[in-house]
Amino acid sequence: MLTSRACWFLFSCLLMLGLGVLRPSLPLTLLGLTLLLWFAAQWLWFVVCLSSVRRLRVLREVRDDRSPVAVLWAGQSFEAHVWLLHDVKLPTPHITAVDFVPFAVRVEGLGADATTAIAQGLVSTEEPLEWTYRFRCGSAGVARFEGVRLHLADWQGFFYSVHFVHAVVELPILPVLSSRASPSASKKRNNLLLPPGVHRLRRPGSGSELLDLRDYLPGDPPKTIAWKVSARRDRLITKEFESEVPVRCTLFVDASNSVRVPASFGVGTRRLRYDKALDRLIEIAAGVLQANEAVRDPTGLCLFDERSSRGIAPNRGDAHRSACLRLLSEAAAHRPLPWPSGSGGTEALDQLLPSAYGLASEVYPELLRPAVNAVPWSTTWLEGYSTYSSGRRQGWFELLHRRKDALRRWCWWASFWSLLVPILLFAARWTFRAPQLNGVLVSSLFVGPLATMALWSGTAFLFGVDALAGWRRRRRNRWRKQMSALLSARYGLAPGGLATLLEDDDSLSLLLQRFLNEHQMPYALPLYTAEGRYAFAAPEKVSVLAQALLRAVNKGRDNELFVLLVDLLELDEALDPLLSAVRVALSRHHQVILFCPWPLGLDLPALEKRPFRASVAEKPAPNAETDGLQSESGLWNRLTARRYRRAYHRLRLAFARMGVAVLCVTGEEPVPLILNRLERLRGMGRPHS
Amino acid sequence: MTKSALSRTVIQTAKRRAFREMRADPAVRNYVLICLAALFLLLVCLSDRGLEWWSFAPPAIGCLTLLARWSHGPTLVLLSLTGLLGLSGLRSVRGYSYGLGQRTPSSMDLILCVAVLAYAVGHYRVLSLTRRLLPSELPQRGSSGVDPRSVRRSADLVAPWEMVLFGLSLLIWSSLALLLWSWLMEGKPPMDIPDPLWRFLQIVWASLALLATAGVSASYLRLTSATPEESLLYLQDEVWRQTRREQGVLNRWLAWARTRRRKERP
Repeated sequence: MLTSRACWFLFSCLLMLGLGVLRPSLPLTLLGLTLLLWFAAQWLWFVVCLSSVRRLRVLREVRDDRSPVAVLWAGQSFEAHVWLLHDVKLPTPHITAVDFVPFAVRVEGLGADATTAIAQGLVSTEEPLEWTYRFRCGSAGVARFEGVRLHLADWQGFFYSVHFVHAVVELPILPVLSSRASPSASKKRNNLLLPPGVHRLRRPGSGSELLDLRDYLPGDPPKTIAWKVSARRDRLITKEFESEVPVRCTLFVDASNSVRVPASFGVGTRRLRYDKALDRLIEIAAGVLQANEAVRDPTGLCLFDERSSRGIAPNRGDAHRSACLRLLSEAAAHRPLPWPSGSGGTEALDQLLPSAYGLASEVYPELLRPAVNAVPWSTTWLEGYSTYSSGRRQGWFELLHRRKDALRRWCWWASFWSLLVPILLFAARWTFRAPQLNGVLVSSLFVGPLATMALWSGTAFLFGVDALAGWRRRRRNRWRKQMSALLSARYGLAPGGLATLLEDDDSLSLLLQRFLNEHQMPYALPLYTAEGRYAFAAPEKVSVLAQALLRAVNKGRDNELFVLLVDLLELDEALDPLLSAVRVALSRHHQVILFCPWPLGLDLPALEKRPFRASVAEKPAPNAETDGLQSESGLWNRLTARRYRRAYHRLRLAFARMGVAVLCVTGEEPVPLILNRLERLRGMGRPHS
Repeated sequence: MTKSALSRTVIQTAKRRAFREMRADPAVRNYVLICLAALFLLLVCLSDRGLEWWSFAPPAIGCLTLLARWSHGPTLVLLSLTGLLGLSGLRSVRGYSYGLGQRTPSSMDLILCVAVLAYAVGHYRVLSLTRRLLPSELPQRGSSGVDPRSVRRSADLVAPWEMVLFGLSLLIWSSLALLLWSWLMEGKPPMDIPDPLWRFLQIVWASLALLATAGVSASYLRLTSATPEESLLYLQDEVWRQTRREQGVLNRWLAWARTRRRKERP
């Protein structure tokens, strides 16, 4: 609570007083007493004021340009009004209040005016502290406003305290709607305007537009006979009309782990990027939804992952669109499922612990106070946590740090036996009257203590080495203890949960992910397990998607359009159920289009001249003398790109055999382009039978 | 550029910045004027004690550090005063005796206390207004992307009653210090303990007793006003601290068994 400024001041006062009293000197003593009394009074006043801070409340209102809103839109700018209210008459210290801005949004105007999310002053019952700032939403998801962080200080900057006023508000961020004027699915050729949601299809039907003429077949209704043409050709000719049917579109959006994995990360807390394939898929789904809404096509939505699927039946209208967008934003808010347990959580723990501790120290400073969550010095300096749950090889320093406890135990046991063995030998010598034990007795009297001393010295040396080299490990142990205590209390594991989490990396890793997920904080995870397997491959989702597609086919009418937004790259061995389901859909005269998210940073397969046959050896060799590291990463990137292109080619081949288009979805490709392709495919009206 | 020219440039830059801040914020100007007045009083008091040219040293240090907005300015002034008054304590000039014999404080002592306190408080408040309010050791965190260490106290928040309270506090704490001094002088040391040592022990024990009482009261107040989460965490921590070795051994075996099972049946 004391700042360095106060420490120096206190030191000067104490020195002045001590010298004044002992010397003795009246002015010095008086000066020292005056300054110390004033300092003590300031401290007391600060403590009294601090007790009133717990009664502070936060009110927040988010507005757009016109009125308060309960729903946010991706990419839009909003204004947050925050009030800090006080209920009791006690005064507060000087407060610097910083609103905890959700990770899904970004405060505007941080460059020139860095105090937009900050307010300061005193809070009283009559005058609440009020401030406003603007923020811009990122991608779809949920914006979680945790509350307000208070930095409390006196006017001199001597005393300091941090407090967090919790006021959790979660606002859904709905996906952005494309601003493009939506194209009509059918061009108006005559004055005849089709009813909303109805499209012409170039296949025989009962519409009003002429499609073709053919010879009369027995059973054709007489009213379809083209009499003039029949007279001219001297045989009966029947008119065929276009089919006019409502086209219903069902979007199948992949929400499995493989599309929730972050693609890239930035540096620093606020610059953290969380680009994931799911954002792109949701953006496209929202664009398609809007385009269909514009021509009043019924649109359905089905979200699926590795376990289950849920959806909304095709329909139209504002309420239906809102429900779809909410479902999409809920899906976007989901983080990757907890990293697979049982595969060694240590790798994940190294990345999760700093993020989780940073978040906890910002949002829960009261739960990390030494008074309620202490870290005994012996746990960091003398003990280390075990390596049993770690599945990887440890370095020498890491091993030493983790085995300190065992090392110390060995020393104690060696001391015990070096004391006990001479006593036992002495007793045996006198009990059995064996003079031949004399030599052993004498040597044990010397060798035992010497060996013990050597062991203690070696241990002390190793402890010294660890003390010098292990400051990061000590910090990690401190973080781990505090986070284990917090998570154990938060998730109801107390009283034994703390000790369990200190020893078990897997359990702690899972709880840390849950904690970060709850607070909507992005975090990095290792993509591969300790055994070298890709941790987020989800072949189970193919079966779930196939079942959902079959259900939709069973419930569907004619001419349905099924848009599959799913990551199927490198899952070509598990595609059989989906291919069967697609075959069933096509046999019922439905259309299927597949959009596959393409990894960020890789060239599109279409841009590659020799997509998959080009070998690495044919590529120009990197100059190893210039930059070895760069060449290594370049090689890695090329190999990854090549692997993905091969996978894409196999996927395209598998679906092309059935006449299903497979399109890549990249970060750079705009939604309108994809919509155009969709429109072209929809408007073709090509029968698949 | 020579060293002297460089130092001149630095001083001129600091002076220009200080004058600019004074012109911009009346609150800063008021506090700076109070500091300067206090330093002048300090100079008068020290000159009155016959310290001659040495009496210019603490005010000069105060002026320079105030101009440069240096956070260690009050500490340096206090240390220089300690050295000056401590070393010259045994001298007897102009009828004053500042050594063992002086037991009655004069009005100049009171003025000295008021001046030093006014300067120290004023300087620290100027620093809060012009440099930073929150400590520099604060970690740079913040979801809003704003570094809280860079936050200064807004000059608009300085109310007029703050100055009045400031002036009153100077008189109150100096007078209280005088009262405390006279209380200290009343008693006689037992068991032939030397007078200065007895007073020193009295002050130390009284301070420790007050500190302990205040600390215990504050922690008790904090415990009584703790939230359920804090209380649960406190209890959990107590249990863990008392049984952590036994729990650690048990959980280590459990973790080991899990790892072993996983290796056997991957």
